[in-house]
Amino acid sequence: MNKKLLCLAIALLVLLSATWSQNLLDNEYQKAGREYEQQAKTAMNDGRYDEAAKFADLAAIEYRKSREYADMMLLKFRAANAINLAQRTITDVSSVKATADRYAAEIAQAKALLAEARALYDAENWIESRAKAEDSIALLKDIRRVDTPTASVSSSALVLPRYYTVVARPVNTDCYWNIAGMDGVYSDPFQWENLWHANKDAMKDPENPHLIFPGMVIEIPSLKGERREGTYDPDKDYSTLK
Amino acid sequence: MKKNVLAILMTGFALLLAVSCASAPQKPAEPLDDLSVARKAAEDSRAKALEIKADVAVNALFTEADTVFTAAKESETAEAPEAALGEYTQAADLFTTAYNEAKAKRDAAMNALDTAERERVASEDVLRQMEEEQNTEEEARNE
Repeated sequence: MNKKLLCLAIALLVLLSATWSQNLLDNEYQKAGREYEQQAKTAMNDGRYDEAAKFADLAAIEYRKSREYADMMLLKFRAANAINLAQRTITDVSSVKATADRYAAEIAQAKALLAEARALYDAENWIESRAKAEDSIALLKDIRRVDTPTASVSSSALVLPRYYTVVARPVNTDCYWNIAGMDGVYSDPFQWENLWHANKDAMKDPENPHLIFPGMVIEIPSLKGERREGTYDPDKDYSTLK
Repeated sequence: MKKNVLAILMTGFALLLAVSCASAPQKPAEPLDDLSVARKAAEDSRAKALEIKADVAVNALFTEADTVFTAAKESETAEAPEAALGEYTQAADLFTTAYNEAKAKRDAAMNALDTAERERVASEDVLRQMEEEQNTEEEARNE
């Protein structure tokens, strides 16, 4: 049920993104502003200065409206993204039964915050909506990253890990390149950027992919829809899952 | 004796000639010069006004100036230099006024266009920011 909701939310978001993008670039105010500005320039060249000034004033008014519209849409877009991420976080955490049981109160609180965020979104209060959604995400963020136990994965059915804990090594120490090359991660160091992009928000300097620290838990995003659960276990042989 | 008479006659003739030349009426050169200057000033003012498109921007004023300018040319052709002088001077003043008014209007229009351009750039900045955020979100989702 949750997965269906998530898919629906993502599909809606993609659709809204495309629509918004088109609307923003060609929104009625921006279009009107461009037309007035063109008329002002033509009048200017003809020497019809009074008309030029009038059209330029109208263009400025339309551009101001366009900026207000874009500002509003930006807030709406950010709120929608935050709600989407909050929903994904709740789904992720709830998908591991042990975690869901252990943090039932937090998950319930996160769901309540998400419901508030949605209500505020419907009421077109984008700023508050985004804040509530981010509160919901913050509530579960650490649980999602750290407390996904390896034990939840059946020992008889080895699956690819979803998290990896960075360790310091005397030789070939952990970096996104080395981690991406490990069996169980991607077995392909050239995929390191996927790890970097997925974990930027957990990094001290998100723009510097070299700065990862021992103890940091990084998420291994699924590249081709492969199932990933739990944390990387160095004692397991993931080479059979290639 | 004959030589003396001839010398006296020659001197008398020369004196008579000198006196007659001194008392002859001179042509009035000054008014003609003033007219040329006034005509040139009016033509220059008209060209300057046309350059800024005052004929469109302040059409009524320019037309009035042009009417006076045409009358000045007609007066000049009709050999009424004093009337032409006054009309050229008036036309020059009117063309200058037309120029000044057109320039004020043009400056105001240019300011308004600058404002519109600034507003456009500001709105496009927000639109670009929005696009970048959307692209980043798309990339993250694709990963």
